[in-house]
Amino acid sequence: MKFFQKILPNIYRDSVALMQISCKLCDLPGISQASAIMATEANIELLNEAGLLVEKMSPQPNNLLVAIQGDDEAIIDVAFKQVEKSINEVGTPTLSGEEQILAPQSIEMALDEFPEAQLALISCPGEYAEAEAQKALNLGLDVMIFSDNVSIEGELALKKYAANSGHLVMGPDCGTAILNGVPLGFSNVVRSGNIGIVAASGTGLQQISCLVDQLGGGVSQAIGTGGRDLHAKIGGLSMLKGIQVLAKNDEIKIITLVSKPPSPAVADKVLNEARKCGKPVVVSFLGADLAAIKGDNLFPVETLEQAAHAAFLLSQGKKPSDDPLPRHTIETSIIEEITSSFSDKQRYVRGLYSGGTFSYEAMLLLGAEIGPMNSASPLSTKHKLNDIWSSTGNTIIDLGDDLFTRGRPHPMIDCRLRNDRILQEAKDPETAIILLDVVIGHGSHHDPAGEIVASIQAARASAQKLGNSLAFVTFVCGTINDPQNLVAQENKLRDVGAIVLGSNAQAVHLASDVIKAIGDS
Amino acid sequence: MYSLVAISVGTKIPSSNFDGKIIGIYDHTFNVELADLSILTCASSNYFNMPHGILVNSQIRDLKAYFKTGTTVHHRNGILRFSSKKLKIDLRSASMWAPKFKLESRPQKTQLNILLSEIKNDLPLGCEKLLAGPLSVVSQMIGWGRGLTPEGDDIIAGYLSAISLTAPDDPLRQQIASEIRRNIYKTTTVSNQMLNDAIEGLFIEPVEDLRSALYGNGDIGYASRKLKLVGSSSGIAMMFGLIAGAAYIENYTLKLNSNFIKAA
Repeated sequence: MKFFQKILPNIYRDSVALMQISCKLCDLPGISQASAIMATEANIELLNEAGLLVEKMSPQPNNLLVAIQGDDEAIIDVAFKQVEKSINEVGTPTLSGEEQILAPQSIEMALDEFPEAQLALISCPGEYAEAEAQKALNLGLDVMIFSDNVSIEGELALKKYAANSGHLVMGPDCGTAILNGVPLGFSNVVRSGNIGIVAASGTGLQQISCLVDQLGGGVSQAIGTGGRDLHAKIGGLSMLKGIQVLAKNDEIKIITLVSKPPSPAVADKVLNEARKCGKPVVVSFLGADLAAIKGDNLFPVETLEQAAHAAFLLSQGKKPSDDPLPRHTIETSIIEEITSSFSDKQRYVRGLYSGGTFSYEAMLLLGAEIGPMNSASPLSTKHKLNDIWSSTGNTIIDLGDDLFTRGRPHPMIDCRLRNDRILQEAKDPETAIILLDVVIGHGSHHDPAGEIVASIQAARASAQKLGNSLAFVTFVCGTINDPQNLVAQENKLRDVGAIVLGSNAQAVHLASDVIKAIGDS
Repeated sequence: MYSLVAISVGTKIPSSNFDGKIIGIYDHTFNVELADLSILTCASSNYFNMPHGILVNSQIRDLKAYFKTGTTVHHRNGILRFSSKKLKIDLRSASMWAPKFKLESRPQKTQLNILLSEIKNDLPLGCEKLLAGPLSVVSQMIGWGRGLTPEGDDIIAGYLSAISLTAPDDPLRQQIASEIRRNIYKTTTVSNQMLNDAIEGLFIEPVEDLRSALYGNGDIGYASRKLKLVGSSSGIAMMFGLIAGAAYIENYTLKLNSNFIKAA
C-alpha cells in the first residue's frame, strides 16, 4: 500500500465541492482512501486519525491538501491527475478570449460582481465561518452558514447582530434552504407555492417540502436556522426572524415550524411569535407534548409526514383532518410473509440513517411502540451504544453525525460507510430489518439508490449463508424533479426487493409492525 | 470599478437595503425608481441637496458611460452598486441633509417686490392668479407645463414652502394639501413626489435657502440667484410660488403687470 500527500498552494474550494471530489477519488479502482481538503488544523487532525497522513505537517489553511492511499504509485498518479482536473473544473477563473476574469476573492468582491445579491452562503472551515459571516452581515447581506464548528458564543453574536440590523442568519450547520423558490445546499427541486417553512432540522425541512410537493402543494420559502437555534443560549433568534419574514411575505399563506423540542423558554417565545403572525402555523416539534402547543392558528403535529399533510390541506383552504394518517401502505399478509421468513434469532431493527432528523423521528416513533432504541445519540443516555461501530438490540444510528463523519464525507454524498455498515448488520444473526433513508436532491450523491443496491444484494447473500432472510425497509426523500428522480431511485430499491414507503414515518411504522409481529409469532 | 463617496443624503433616502432601476440620466444627475415607486436622485457636488437626493463628492460627467436607463441599482448597508458594475457610491460617511428652519425675521413687501421683478419677464401666463388666492388655481396648476416637474407644480411647491411656516392646522395649508392629493394623478411621477414632500414641509436646498434668507439672516440675493438656476424653468417657478406664499402670509398685495407675462 502506498501513501501520497501534496499541498496545492493558494487554492480554496468549499467543503461540499471537496467532499464530492474526495468521493469520486475513492471510487477509483485501487484507491482505498483519499481526501481533498483544506489544510486547516482540524482537517489535518482528521486525516491523521484516518491514517492518511504519513508525513507530519503544520496547518496551512490557505492551501488545499490532497492525501491518497492506493495500491501502487501508478494508481495514485491517476487519482491525483483526477484531483487536479476536478479542482480546475470547480470554481476555476473564467477565460474570455485573452482576458482572464478572476473569481471573486472576498465577499465584497463577489457583491461588486453580483450587486443584486441579498444573501451570502458561507461554506468554509468552521474556524473562519464566523468572521466571514460577520463580513457578509456588515455588507448588508443575509447569511446562510453551511459550515459547522462555529462556537455557540460566535453563533449568538452573529444572530444578535443580525437581529439588530434586520438581517437573517441561517445556521451554522444549515445544510438546506429554499429562498424565493431557489434551492440552496442539500435541497430538493420542489414546486413553488404558498407554504413557508422555518426549520432547525435539515432533513426535516427536506422531508416536509418533498411530501408537500408530492401532495401537489408548493414551498417557496424554507428557512433553515441551524440545529442549535432553539437552544436556550441562542433563544431561537433565527426562528423568530424566520417567522417574521414569512409573516410579511404576501405569497406565503401557511407557515410550518420544524424542530426537536425547544427549551421551554424558547418554545414560549417561538409559539408567541407564531400566534401573532396572522397566518396558520403547523408546529412540528418532534417529541414535544402536543397538548401544550395551544393557539387558534397553531396546528401541532407528531410527525414530519403529518406536518406536510397539515400544511398542504391548510394551503388549499382546508382544515387538517383529525383522523390519523395511514400507518403505511403494506398489507398484513405481506408483513406475515416477512416475519415468517425470519429465523428464530432475528428480532431487531437496525436503522442506518443519513439524515439526523429521520433517525430522531425513528427513535421517537419506534421507542413509543417497541421500546427504547439504542443509538450513538440516543433519546436517553442509558441507551447509548458502548461501541458506536457495533449495534445491539434495536438500534438506530445517524451516520451523518459528526461521530461517524470525522475525516469522511457525509453519507448523503459518499455511501461507502453505510454500505459497509449494511454488510456488518447482515452478519449479525439478530438483525431482522434494516431501515434506510435515501436522501436525494442537490448536493446528494448522484445515484444513492444505485450505490446501495449492491450492498443490499450482498447483505442478503451474506444473511442467507447464516440461514437468515433480511427485510430492507426504505423510503426516498426527494421529488420527481430532483436530478436523481424520486421514481427512478425508488424503482432501483424495489428491483432488489427493498420495501419502499412514502415517508420516514411510514417506514418506521412498518418496521414497528414487523418487530411487533415477530414478538407475537 | 469607479468609486464615489456621497457627501450628503436627504432624509427620505432609506437606510435599509433597497433595490431600484435607473429611469433617467441627465448631465449631472440620474434618477432611480425604487420598488415603492419613490424616486431617488443622485447628483454631482455642484448640484444641491434634496429630500430624496444623494450628493456625491465629485462633479459627475458623462454618466452614460457608467450605466444606462434600466440599469439596476442595489443598496446594501450604505453602498450603492449598479448592475453595470462600473461604479459604486459609498453613502456610509455621508451627512444627513435635514435643514432646520428658524424664524428670525419677516420679509418686507419691498423685498418681495424686488424678487418678483427679477423673474417677472420669465413667468408663464396665468400664474398671476396665484397672487389673488391659491385655492381657485391649485387644481388647474397641477401638471400644468412641461418637463419632469411641470411649472405649475413647481409654483405650488414654492407656495407651500412659505405656507408651511403657518401652523400645521392652518385651514389654507390643509385645503391646498387636500387639493393636491385630489389632483396629483394629473402630473408626473417625479412631480408627484415633489408635491408630496412639499405637503410634508420638505423642499430642495435652494428653496430652503431662499426661504431662510427671507425669514432669517441669509443673503437673499445669493439665494435667489441659486434658486433661479434650478432646471430650465423650475427654479423661477418655485421662486414665484415662494414669493406669492410669503405675500399671503405677510398679508401683502403684490401685482404683476400683465405686459411682462410671457405665454406658457
